[in-house]
Amino acid sequence: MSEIIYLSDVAVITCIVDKERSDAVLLAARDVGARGAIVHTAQAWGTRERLGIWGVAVETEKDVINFLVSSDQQDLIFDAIYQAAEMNAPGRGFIFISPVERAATYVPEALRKQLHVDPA
Amino acid sequence: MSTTHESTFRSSDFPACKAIYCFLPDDGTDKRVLRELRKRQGIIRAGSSTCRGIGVLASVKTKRGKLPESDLVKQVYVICSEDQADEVFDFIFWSAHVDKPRRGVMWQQAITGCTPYELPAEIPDEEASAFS
Repeated sequence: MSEIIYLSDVAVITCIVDKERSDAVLLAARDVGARGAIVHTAQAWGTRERLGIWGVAVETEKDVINFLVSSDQQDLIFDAIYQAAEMNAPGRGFIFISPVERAATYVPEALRKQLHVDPA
Repeated sequence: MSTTHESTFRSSDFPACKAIYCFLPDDGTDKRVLRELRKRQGIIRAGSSTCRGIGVLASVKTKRGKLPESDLVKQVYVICSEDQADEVFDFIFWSAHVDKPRRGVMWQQAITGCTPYELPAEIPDEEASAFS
């Protein structure tokens, strides 16, 4: 059994967005370096059921998207997601960043050697 | 905003804990990990749910500007005490083979408090009833 490489200086960005915008969010995050994402489908309701002058019902099919990102990338990815989701318009959703104490995943052999860690 | 609701508890009444999230392939590993967590670590504040995982490093060809096809993945969530966290984190890592390629990712976050949870005592164990 080899050593676990604990990844520190990481954060989770959570973006709650209409289903139709989730692909744009994922692409924007990928383009600035996000390595992957987890998407939860959710039925949501907020503080208002209807918005706008026509009283159109707010789309309730939401995607909750999690990105595990390094701390030095978080602002860049946050900004890209913000723009892609058009969060500056009312009622689009919201994004938040939560701190992660540590993370772990598969680390390729070459990288383990670079870090002088026992081979897997 | 005013409210007339009188609270019985405050969140600070409950001890700070750790939440461990683990994203695993949809191959039954989640259920095995949950069983082993209960059996070997005594963890019952845990569960799993289904979600979509998109890895941009996945070896699939996509058109430029398109996302790779997502995979169905299982999210395992575990709440444990701060004292148990190191052991439980490592236990899940090895038990779910997260050290191998395409076996997912896991992380740990601090939570300020969590309510206790107990399983109903009168319901027999699945394993015990299977052999009776």
